[in-house]
Amino acid sequence: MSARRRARLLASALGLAAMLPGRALACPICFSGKADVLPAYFGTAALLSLLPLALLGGILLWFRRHMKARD
Amino acid sequence: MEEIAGGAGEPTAADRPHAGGPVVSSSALGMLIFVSAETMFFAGLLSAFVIGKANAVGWPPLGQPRASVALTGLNTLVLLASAVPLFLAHRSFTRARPTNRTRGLLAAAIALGGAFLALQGYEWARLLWFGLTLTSSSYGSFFYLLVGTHALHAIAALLALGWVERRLRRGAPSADAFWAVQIFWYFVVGLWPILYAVAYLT
Repeated sequence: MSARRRARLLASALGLAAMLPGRALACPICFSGKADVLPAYFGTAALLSLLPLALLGGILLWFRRHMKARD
Repeated sequence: MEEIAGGAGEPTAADRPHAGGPVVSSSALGMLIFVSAETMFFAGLLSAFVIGKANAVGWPPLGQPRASVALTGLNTLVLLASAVPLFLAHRSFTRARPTNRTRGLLAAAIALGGAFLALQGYEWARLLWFGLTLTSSSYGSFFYLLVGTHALHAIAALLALGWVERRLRRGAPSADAFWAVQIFWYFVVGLWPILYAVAYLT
């Protein structure tokens, strides 16, 4: 890929990123007067979203390791 | 004589170890699925605790007794230590089938688990005496819910370890059953430091 093409792609990506909307806070209860509340909601939402994937991935990896050991 | 496929010179699938059997035993897989479900359950409880704490004006609320960080820290070490003899017991079991050493190590793991529960009971009695109850505040509710649910799991895991120990005395439990119970105990042990950090240290 030529340098000019790479620069054009980078500029396009930056332009698209600049057009992204700000954070959309759609949750009506995820805020209060305290500053601690929003990070707590974000953190727990991330935990509860990612943990099942991590568990499933862990079990599949474990399974794969046992399959390899058997073969 | 006509050579048939899979004869003496040609290894067949059946000659390979565990060929045709499950990759992981049903008991181990069932326990892993159960432990995963319980992990999500505790993640839900911890999330509720974190949100409740973030919304509270003061934490722990004024006038409510504090849980003992030092005593429970010591208790955490006791519980973590219980995983060592259990690991050694399982290794001894898989290497040489049940021996006195296996039973001794398993008994040590059970004793350490029992000591953890006894110290937890003492801590609860102390906190109740000082006025921290399930209904005294949201701190009390979350505290007893988190720690109490873990204690219930620890009791169930201890009973399972006791069952393995009894089977060892009478003969031998299956290696798969031993492994499944071991996974359960490791879950109880591994979860506690997280609960301790969240409920006691923050």
